[in-house]
Order: sequence, then structure tokens, then C-alpha cells
Amino acid sequence: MRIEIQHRPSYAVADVHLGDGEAVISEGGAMVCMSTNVSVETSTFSRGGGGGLLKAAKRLLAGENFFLNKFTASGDGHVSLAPTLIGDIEHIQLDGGKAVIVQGSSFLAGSTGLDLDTQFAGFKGLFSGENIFWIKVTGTGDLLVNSFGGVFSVDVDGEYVVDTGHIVAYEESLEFKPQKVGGWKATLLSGEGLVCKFTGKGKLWMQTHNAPGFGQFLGAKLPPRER
Amino acid sequence: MKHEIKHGPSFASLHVELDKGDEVRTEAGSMVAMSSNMDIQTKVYGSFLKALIRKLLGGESIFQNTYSPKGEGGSLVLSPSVPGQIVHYPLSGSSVVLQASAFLASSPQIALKTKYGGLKSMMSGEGLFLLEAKGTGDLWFNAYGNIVEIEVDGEYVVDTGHIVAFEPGLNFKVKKIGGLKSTLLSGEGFVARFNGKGKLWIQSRTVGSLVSWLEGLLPH
Repeated sequence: MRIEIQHRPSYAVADVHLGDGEAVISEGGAMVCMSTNVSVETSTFSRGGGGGLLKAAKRLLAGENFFLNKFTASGDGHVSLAPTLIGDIEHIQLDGGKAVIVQGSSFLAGSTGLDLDTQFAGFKGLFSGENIFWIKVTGTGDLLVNSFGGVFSVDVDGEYVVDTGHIVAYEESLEFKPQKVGGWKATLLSGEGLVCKFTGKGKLWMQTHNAPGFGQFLGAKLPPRER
Repeated sequence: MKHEIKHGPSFASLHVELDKGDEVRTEAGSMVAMSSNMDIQTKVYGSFLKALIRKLLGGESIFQNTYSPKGEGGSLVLSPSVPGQIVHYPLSGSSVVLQASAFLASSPQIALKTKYGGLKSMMSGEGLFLLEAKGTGDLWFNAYGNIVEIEVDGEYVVDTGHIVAFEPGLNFKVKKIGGLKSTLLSGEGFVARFNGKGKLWIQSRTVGSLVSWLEGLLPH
């Protein structure tokens, strides 16, 4: 499998080149175009050809689709994938070591050697301004995550602070807790409110912009919905 | 202090490395990420009344935050609330005029003064409200879409919704674009006619146009 990401950072599309018999599993609705020798199978996959209703139901809770699509090539083929929102795509390679935790709506696609498991992030998820369900990705293979805006990473060693709504993914060797941005005055009036404080050693991916934040900014300018 | 503007023009973010003793003042809500030793002070800039006017008319926040690292240096990442470009404009005792919502960050030594764009600018439907940034230090401003820099020498016409910033050597008046017919039917309405000599920055898109496009698509 060879992955090329084009049109970065604003309108990124991932061109996935598949060898004979190779497959990629993507979020529903992500396919832009593909060669005719690629077949699509829609299922509740979690790993390879397997899957399960429970995992699919949990995925639904994570803000993802119940169904995922598996694109399999017979002969050399390709499929192009794009996220719903404008922004970038990051290619993360997993070597079977550290798992990567992906914020619910940031999962775009993965190769078949990966296992996707939705996890309840609890209250910290709720306060993180993200989904309360996150996807834990383990195994060996290629993972594609998407961001609203640009994506950038920091190798955290010790502590690092991220505003809510900007987490894309992080290695499981890190953990975070929601906390106040500063004193009570700053927390209530700064417009920053709660932030996520990461601790540990590992890679953290963030997005430059906050989709719900932009949505609320636009929403405030739109006429109220009539009932 | 070092800074870099990344991910532009569509989703520009400002990455600042602060040394010990450095401070950056920012628009509220613009912080994306930072090192854990960063201290944040939230203050009303200028008088509360003026800040309130800025908020109501310019859409600018009442409160601004000042970040400074505790102990060693620290890092700070900022993004504007709307996707678009960021421009760095260093000031050395000089000034520049910003459309009020264009302010992203500055050195704390830069003074911000509210300026009224005139009754005509209100009539233009854009609610043009201006901020004058003056002093010595760094200033960063942002826009929706890309930012285009234009050297004006003489006269230049810009749609009022596209003004981001201009140097004080320039003045503008809000005018109808042409005759009554084109004013009403051209989709342009009022424009700003600049004259003088200096730099003018305009944005390639307007939030207002996006909002009215979305409005038309909403269910009734």
C-alpha cells in the first residue's frame, strides 16, 4: 500500500494505491473516486474482515458511522479518500508498539492490519470539548486521521497544554486531564475556559482550528431555526 | 521571541517561542496549545465602556489575554476563530489601522485605540469599526480567506467587507459603487474609496457572504 496526500493543507485528499488483494477500510462517505477494479464491501468491520455489531454501535456513539467501507483491489488499483470537513490529513504508521487514541470524528481510514476499538473517554472526554468516545487504534499498518484546518504534532516529554476542541490523536503513552486554563478570572473570562493538560512521553497531533467553534461563530449569525 | 506563521493561507496559525520575560497579548479564545509553564492574565483592554463598544460593534472580545512563560521560555500556538491568513506587521513607533475583528495578537507595548468608521460605514451593512494599533513591537492580524497586500498611491476602491488593515497614510470614504442601478443590482452596494499613499490589506473572502449563502440553504 502506498499513500499520497494531495492538496494539503486546506483540502487534503488521500490517494491510496493498493496492490492486488490489498484493502483499506474507511469512514463512510469518504470515497471521492477509485479505479474500477476496486470493490466495496460495507460492514461493521473492526478488524480485517471481522467485525461486530457491538463495536459498530460503539462507533456510532463516537460520532463515526455505524458502517465502514472496505475497498479491496483486484490487481493494482487506487481509491481516493477525503474527510467531510475542509482541512488536512495526517498519515500515521503503527508498528505494533504504542497504540494511538484518535478523537472520535478524526478517523478517516486504516489498513486492514489495524484494530479499531471505541472507548468511552468518560468525563475527561466530555470536558475536552471533543467526543466522549475515542477510537483506540492498535496493530501494525497505516492510519489516516483528518483535521479541521492544519494538523501539527508535538513530541511531548513532560507536560503540554492543548485547548479543548483541538486534539486529533495521541500515543497511548500520554494521558490528559481537563483543567482550568489559569485562575478563576482567566478561566471564566479569557475565552479559553478549560484546557487539556497532557503528561507523559509521546506524540500528540493537534488541529489548528476548532470546527464546533467555527460552527458556533457562523450559527450565531444565522436566523434562528423555526419550530 | 521567535514566531512563525504556519498552515497559511487557509488555516494559518501563529507559533510563538517566548523567551524568559517575553509577553504576548492575544484576542480571547485564540489559544490552541501552549507549554505548561505559561501564565495567563485576563484583562479588559482600555476602559470597560470602550471594550463594550468594541464588542458590540466590532465583534472583538471585551477581554484580552496576556501570556508569559514562568521560569524558562515557553511556546504558544494561536489560531483565529475564522479560517484564513495571518500577517505579521512590526511597528516601530508607527501605527496601522485594523478592521476591529482582525486583531489576533501583539506585544503588550502596542496600544489599541478604537476608531469609528463613520456613519456611512454603518450604512454599508458591514459595521465597519476600526482599531488603531500604535507603538513599538509586533502585531499580528488575521482575516477570513487569504490576505492580499496592495500598495496604494493615489486612489483605490475596495468592497467594504474586504478591508482588513491599512497604513495611516491612507484615508477612505464610503461611496456608492456607481449609479443607482449598479448600486442596487450589482451585488456590490457600498465600496470604500481609498486615497493617499500606503499599504492596504484586503481579504479574499467575507464571512458575510458565507453566512448569506448558508442562510439560503437552511430549511424553513
